[in-house]
Amino acid sequence: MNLPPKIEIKLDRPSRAYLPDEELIASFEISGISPADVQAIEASVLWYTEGTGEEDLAMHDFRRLLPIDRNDADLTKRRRFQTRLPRSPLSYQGLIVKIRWAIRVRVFMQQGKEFMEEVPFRLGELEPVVPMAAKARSRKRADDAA
Amino acid sequence: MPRWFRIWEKKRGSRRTVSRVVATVGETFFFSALFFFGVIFTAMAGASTWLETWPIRAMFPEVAYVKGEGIVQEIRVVEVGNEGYPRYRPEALVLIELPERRCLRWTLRRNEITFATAEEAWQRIEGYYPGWIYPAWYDPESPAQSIVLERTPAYGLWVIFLVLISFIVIGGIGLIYTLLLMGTSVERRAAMAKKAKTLKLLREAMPAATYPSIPNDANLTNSPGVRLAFRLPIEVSPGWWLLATLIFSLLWSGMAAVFFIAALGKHLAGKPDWLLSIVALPTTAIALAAIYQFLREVTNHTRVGPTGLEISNHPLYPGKEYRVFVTQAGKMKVKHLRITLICEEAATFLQGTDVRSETKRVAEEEVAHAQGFEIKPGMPFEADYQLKIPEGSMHSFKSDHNAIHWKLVVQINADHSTRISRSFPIVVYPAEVESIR
Repeated sequence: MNLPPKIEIKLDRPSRAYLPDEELIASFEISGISPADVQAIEASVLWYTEGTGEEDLAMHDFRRLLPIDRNDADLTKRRRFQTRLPRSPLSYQGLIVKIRWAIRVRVFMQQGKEFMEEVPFRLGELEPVVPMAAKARSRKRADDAA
Repeated sequence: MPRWFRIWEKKRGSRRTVSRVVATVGETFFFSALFFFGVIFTAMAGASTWLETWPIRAMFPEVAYVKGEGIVQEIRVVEVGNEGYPRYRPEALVLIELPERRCLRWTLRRNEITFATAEEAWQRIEGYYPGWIYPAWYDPESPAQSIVLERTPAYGLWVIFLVLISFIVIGGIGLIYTLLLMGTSVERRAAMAKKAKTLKLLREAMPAATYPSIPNDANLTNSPGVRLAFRLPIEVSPGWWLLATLIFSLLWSGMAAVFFIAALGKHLAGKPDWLLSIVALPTTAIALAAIYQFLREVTNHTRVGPTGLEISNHPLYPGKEYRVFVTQAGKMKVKHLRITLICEEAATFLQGTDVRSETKRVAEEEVAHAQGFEIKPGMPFEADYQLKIPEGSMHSFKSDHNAIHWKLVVQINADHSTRISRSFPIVVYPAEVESIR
């Protein structure tokens, strides 16, 4: 049985936190497969929504690599890329709407199978939203304590 | 209890239950079937029309007719139908002379036409005179049974061709689209969509996306204010709500009046219909409530008058302060006037075949509160307030199915139970990059 390839994605910041308009530098490497088995690789920097609504997804940066792009035809070697992040939308953790930023690497095999790995990161410094009832309770507690 | 397995359903988060391969195969099969059905049947219909064979000849015999000359021998109007429903059919006796034989037939057109009165039928056949020669059409294989003086256009044949060609077009486009997307990741599709947006023509029509996914605020800054920079537009015009209330109360009152009069009539006649009375009572009550609500809306709007809200800057940024100027016209004693800054999340999703939406308020800050004052005609209430967008707030956001809206809401609580709420959308941008660095 063929084992799935290991897709390792690294970001230049261990905290995985970025501000709008900043440079993001990432690299990825694929191991556990023969380079000849790789048909194409896609690396993308994107955001998507989660929550009650249908999922929306938008691309910030997208690269599709084919064996012909590299002289040695080996797409599995570590590859580095960088992109300037946009000013919006910021990462957001709301009550029914959540916005997640991530780097995704997708590997397409010659046999038609595909494998995907995703590493999330944060754009901006917004705190998770607190429900209004909880906010009112904590305000009341603070008032009582005062 | 075990849950039913659902074929296509959004799970929490971003994953779906179905296999993409199965979905693609299904789509390919469906569009291929549509395309090949269209091609095969268009070819059959085309060949059948061209060669004048079955099935087109059976459905539209006139496609095989040839033109000749017919001599009208006689004209008449025949009574058809029955005693209760008499109809009159105009006819002409037409003779055609073929090289090998002569054919005679009472006819006018292939699909029979009848009229309600004999006069109308005679008028229809006016213009055909015995002894005169007119163009006539007939099927060469059975001329005696097919002579007509008027050839009817085969519209049905064109409809059949249009439907079959639409199958080819829909199936073909669907098939090409499915094949193009086969083996294409969601990221690649999104990248293709983004690339399409950057095409020159589209780029010219769209505003520059310095802040992607933030709604366009052009409509909020195109109206200058009297005191401050911009006059904000109102979210829903009160006139539309008033019109909706009027239409509902009129329709419902009309229906209720029918029930009420019918029930009252039965009671007055001494034969009460209790079921009708039971239905009429709540219907009438709802009608009265609707009329009361409409009158209350009218009174509110005439007494309250228009609300104006102006703002010193736009767009707005979290952590920054702005000025807000409110004007309220009308004639009333105001108990409270409150301006609130509100942030709401909105999501739309499919539930079965329905599109549903949900909103959740995530921030509510009181901007201003005034109480115990009187507004007189010609002397509107005017006040200037400070507005601060809370630090660390999320910016306005809009995607296909999710949104984050900011708005200023003016609520008025006046005498005579007058309560009114007017909403003014605003756009909040992310905190300026320089300030958060």
